[in-house]
Amino acid sequence: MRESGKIIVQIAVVVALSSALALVINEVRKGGLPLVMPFPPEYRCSDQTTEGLVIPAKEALRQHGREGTALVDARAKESYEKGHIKGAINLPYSFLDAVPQEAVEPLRKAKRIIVYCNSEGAERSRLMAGELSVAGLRDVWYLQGGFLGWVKAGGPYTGQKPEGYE
Amino acid sequence: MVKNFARGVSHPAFVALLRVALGVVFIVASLDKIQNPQSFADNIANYRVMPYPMINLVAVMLPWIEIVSGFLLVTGIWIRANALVVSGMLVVFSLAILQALLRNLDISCGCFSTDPAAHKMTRWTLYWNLIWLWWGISVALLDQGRYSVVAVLSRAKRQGRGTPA
Repeated sequence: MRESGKIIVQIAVVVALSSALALVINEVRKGGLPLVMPFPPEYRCSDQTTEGLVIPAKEALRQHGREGTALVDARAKESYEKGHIKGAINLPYSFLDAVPQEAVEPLRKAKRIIVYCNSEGAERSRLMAGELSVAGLRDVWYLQGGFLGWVKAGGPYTGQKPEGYE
Repeated sequence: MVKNFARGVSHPAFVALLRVALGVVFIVASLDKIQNPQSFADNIANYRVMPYPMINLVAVMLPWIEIVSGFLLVTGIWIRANALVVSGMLVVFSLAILQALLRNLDISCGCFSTDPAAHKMTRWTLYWNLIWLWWGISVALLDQGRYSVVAVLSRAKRQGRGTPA
């Protein structure tokens, strides 16, 4: 019992000292990391580093309704159900889970895929576009300005207008 | 024959060799991660098992725990504690690799190099981790510190004074 208590203390000391050393060096060194990651990173696969290309709302409007264009809503299911771009399918982006293969398969028929979300910087859709590209889909784009930008540009939608629309 | 094998495996000199090798492995494994924390954070993110706000913190701290415990294992200081620290990390690594394999994630291991194209993860990555884990547990259970740097130096000192060991 005494011996195991001693070992636990030693483990705590090793972990605490190493962590303290790591934090100090990270603080001092050039190019140290911010300790809290501000947004999910684009994950990189071994040899397929890629990401989607940005498409402005006006260009997306021209593509909408054309044969072979698929629209993917990368927001949560609740947001999609409130309102979405007409004809879009919902494929919520999750940082922790890869896009299921069965969701990717139907998109293989599309000639062009446009992913959108609600965020101003379109981070979620950019990540989802990258993920779909990694899954082997070609011509994957993410919508600049997201759902809000689309509605502002006069694009057709189903349900409610996006938040922030005046 | 089995008895002889068991005796050989648990021989203090052999166990000390295992300990030093394990320590060196962890020191080597930490170097690239310490030099490239951003790439290591990307490696961790690729496993898609950790909430992203925690990733950078782990990417900063983990390699230093590896190098410090590796160095202490090599020198033979607090052997049991450091072997358990290393074994604990190996349990976590093995679980992370197992879930990545089960989910068919096409990622690199990030074990020794942060280069995403360096070591593509296979079942062997998991097997190697389990071998290291067995290695770590063996050191924790069997190494009595007879060949630690401190023990060797104090023996040499005693011999220099002419006192019996």
